[in-house]
Amino acid sequence: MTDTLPPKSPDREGLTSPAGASNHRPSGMGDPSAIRGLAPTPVEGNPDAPVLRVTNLTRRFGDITAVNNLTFEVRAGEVLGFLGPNGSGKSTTVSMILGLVRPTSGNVELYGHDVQRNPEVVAKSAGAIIENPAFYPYLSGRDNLRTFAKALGGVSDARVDELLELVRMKDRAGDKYKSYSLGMKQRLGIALTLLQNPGLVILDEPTNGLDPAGQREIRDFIPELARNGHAVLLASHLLHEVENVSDRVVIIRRGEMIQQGRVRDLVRSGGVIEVMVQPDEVAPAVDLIRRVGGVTNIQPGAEEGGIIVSAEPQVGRDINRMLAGQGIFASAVAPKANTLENVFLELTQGSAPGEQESGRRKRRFGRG
Amino acid sequence: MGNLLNAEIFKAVKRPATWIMLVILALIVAAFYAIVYFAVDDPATDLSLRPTEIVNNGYAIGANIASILVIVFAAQLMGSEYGWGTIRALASRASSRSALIVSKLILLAGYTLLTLVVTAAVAIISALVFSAIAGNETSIPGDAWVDYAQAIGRYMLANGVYAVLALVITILSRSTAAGIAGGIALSFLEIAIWEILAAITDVFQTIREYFLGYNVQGLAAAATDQQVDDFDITRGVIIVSVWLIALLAISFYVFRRRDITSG
Repeated sequence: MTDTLPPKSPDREGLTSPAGASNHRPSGMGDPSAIRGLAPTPVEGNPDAPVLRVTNLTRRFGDITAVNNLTFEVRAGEVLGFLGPNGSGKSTTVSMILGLVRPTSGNVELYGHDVQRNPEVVAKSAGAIIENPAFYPYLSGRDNLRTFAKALGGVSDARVDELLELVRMKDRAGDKYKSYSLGMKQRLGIALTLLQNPGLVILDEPTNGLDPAGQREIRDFIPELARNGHAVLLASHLLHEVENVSDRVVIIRRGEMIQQGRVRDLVRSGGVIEVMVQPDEVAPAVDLIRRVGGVTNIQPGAEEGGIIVSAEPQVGRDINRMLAGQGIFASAVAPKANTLENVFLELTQGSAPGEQESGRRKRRFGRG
Repeated sequence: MGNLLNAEIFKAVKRPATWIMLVILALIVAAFYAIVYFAVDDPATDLSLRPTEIVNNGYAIGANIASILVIVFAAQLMGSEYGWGTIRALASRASSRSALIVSKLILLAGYTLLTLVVTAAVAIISALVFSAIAGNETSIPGDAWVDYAQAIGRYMLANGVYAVLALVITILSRSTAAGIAGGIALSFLEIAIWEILAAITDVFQTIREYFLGYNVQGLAAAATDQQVDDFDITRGVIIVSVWLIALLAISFYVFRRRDITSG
């Protein structure tokens, strides 16, 4: 069944349809006319299918299984956070979504089309930055976008200029790409992902190299993309960034999905208790807290002497009693609002999102 | 496919190396005529300066240099995409990988032809200019244009096959340097290796006739007056064409099937 797929009404509060997209201008972004152009270009396909559907996706490299039986989907108007430690299979998954890497088994569908059988659907409906933006160093920013616009076909020079305006690169658009800062390269990469108004936008570390103002702009911009009807797959090491802008998250580890769900539900799912002790008492305190029933994970706190314990709030009393019984008097044992970072660290057993899975970070002293 | 070819042409036109190589080629051919003019005792009688003789002189030299330049161009055409990491962005925006490689091959064929046309044009102009200075005849007879066209055609095949060979090596290695080194080394070393082996036994003398070096050398020589003894031009064209098709098939097979993970 093939129909022209209209951009779906996004499933979130305060949204506008793509037709009304011009009323919403992300803070810090450029000309509103560029925003109007952000509504995804309709793609032939199954109108009931999600923009992206990944089914039982597996990829093996020799004896190593990089991605194992991964299944998830992203619908129009949704931002899906895609999390996992380095080496967990995120880039391999994204490469399979884009048809750059062949799955060993399973499949990827864009608008109901298998990307291996219909590679042109990727060009029409997916825009991505994988790891770092890559462009031709001898070309200007504008000519780089024009090159990819020509490769895609049907993308006008006016559209290129709109996007340069949107990412605030118009003033430097004539300069050679090799003269750009990392932040400018990142902005150009974001413009590239939007060149053909793709239904699926994949952003891998989109704020990498941006100053705080630039990071804020991108954070504001991602939900705006979703409001305009795009499906966004966001991979980032900055978990608070993912927490703020994502509707749902998928967390993978060693190529396997270990959790997926709505951010709100995941954050609510477990309690967190912050324990403050003297810095030289952290190690014995951790050993004692491990013995307390109901404790599921222990991580270092942000402050010196801080310990973050994953447990229901009532367990705090038991922790306090255990520590005091061994002569360690905590200055604070208090329930704390859970964060996606805590959830992630608990699920990945202490692997920081930017850490190689093969290694173990020094800070890790939790269970498992 | 047209979109991708358009993008490839745009990149090539904007890339300084594209023009620098052509300028170098033109300067070398022009310099050849200048050197001959000043080196010979009597430019008025020396055949090397005659426009009718360019396929044996300035054009032959330029076309051989062009063979190296198109190897460099071919290796850059694919190797730079891997080196700069643009291959993933490009491949994910291409209608298919086959279309992407076809667009690059068409551009490569176009550039190979351009180097030979520039070589011929500069050789003709230089020969006319220095002939005029020397007081020689400066008209070009009609049959000379046929010689020029044949010479371009034969060198197109001879240079093109090594350019495609460099492209294949680049695709296999994902490296511009490997493509350049491999293409140039094979184009020069193969002939030398067969010469050594043929000196050992006559069997290698026969085997080498089915490889690139012998046939490319024969075709290139056939474009001039120094033809290789017993060289069958038609057979040479067929053998080089078969190699060309085989190399194209390898480049398609590898590029279509292999994961694009680097860059």
